[in-house]
Amino acid sequence: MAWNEIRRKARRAVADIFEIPGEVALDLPKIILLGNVQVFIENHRGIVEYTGEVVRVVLPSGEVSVRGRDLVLRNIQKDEICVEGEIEGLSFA
Amino acid sequence: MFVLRILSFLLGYVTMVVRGEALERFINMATSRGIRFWDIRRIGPDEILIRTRVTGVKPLRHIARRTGSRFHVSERIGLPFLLYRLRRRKMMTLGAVLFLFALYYLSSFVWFVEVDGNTVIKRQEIISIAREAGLYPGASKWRVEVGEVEQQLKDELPRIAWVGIEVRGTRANISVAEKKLMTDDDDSPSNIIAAKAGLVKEVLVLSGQAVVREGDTVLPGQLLITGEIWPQAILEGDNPILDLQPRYVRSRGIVRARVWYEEYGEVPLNEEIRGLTGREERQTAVRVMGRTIVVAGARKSPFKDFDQDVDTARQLGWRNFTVPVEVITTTFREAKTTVERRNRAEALQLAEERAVQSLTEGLSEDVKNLNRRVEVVRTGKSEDLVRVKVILETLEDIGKEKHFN
Repeated sequence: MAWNEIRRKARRAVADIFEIPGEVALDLPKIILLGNVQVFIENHRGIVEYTGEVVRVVLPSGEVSVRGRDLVLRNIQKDEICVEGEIEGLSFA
Repeated sequence: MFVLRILSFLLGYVTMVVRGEALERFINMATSRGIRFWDIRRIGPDEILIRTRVTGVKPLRHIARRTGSRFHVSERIGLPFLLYRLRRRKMMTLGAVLFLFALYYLSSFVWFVEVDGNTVIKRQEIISIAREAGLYPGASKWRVEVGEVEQQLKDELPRIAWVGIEVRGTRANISVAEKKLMTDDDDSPSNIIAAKAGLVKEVLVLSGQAVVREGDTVLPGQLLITGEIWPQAILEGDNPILDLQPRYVRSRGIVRARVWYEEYGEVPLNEEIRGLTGREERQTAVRVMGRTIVVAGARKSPFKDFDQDVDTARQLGWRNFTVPVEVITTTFREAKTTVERRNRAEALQLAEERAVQSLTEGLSEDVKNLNRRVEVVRTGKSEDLVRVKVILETLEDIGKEKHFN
């Protein structure tokens, strides 16, 4: 575990030095919010829960949950998800 | 994204209802195998609606079995399904094909022949010559030799200076330009008489014999230059010869005279002027069988005071059949009346300007203005009106040719 921690810190340092985008170097998800109507999640690992009120998506580290009303999965592919609807909140776990 | 939509349509896609306990797992498994899903919608606690390409449906069966879910296709969209349905409705397909063919076939004929640019030559004449040359309603377009028709028109109608035929769609337009012929070159004998009263300033005779001299006052209709020339002998009366015949010529010449014009003008001190404000509203109406139906725009004029232009579209028609529908476009233009206040000096100037303008409007270009006098007309009463009389003195050719036999 400690080894992993050291590795991640080193990676971030290198990424900062070379100004490489975080999602490339650190395997972070790229999340784009378009107002409160659309959220675009890149680099995901699948969905855990989908209802009209909540969408939970697995990330490389942890999970993101989108809360809202009338949520629709506009598009779903291997590494990107597009959720549309009336978005009320976004939280990480 | 849009391109993908079109591609999906071409390949065909389906909407299906998936029912099961582990629907998230179903979605994850499918996407990880590269099956595209879109427009996923939750419709019940254990039901979702999914859209996917036709090619993805078969492998989904396997996934459904493994996740314990069931699906059925509810809607089939796209070209493959459309074609399939068309194959079952042969007559409709045949009809569509026939329609397209008829459209193409009918558009390869000239249906309308129009003529423009002619003023003297009759439209009917041009059309009948064009018909002989092969251009008539019903002629097929590839048979019409435009150059030949043009040449024939030019040959048969010598008054045509240029002719151009343009076939656009099913409409052939014959544009002609006519030669300008010199008209009214009447060389019969004539006099020149005065058109206006004036004081003769100069007389220049090109042919004929002057009757008036510089300084004479003439009245309208008075003879200025005569075309009847008697031999000198008679005028001198020296050696009278009987049976002398006068010579008749066409008179030509310029008789310049000073002419006076008088015009009255008045301008009130407070004048109501009605002008357009520039705001306008359009209304489109359709007239069918005597009834007028407003289709778009304001039903009534939105302005209190307005002018309106009514434009009726030409009726479509062919031979003696006309479509009994007219499109009427009405434009309402807002007008406003404002009161213009001015003092006496301004009113005086304006009255003079107006009087001069109405005077000079009727005069031709080559009239030389010599002198202008303005008199204020007083009525004795005090009133909010300025009245003026403008007297304009000009120098102009007052001659007018008059033929005689």
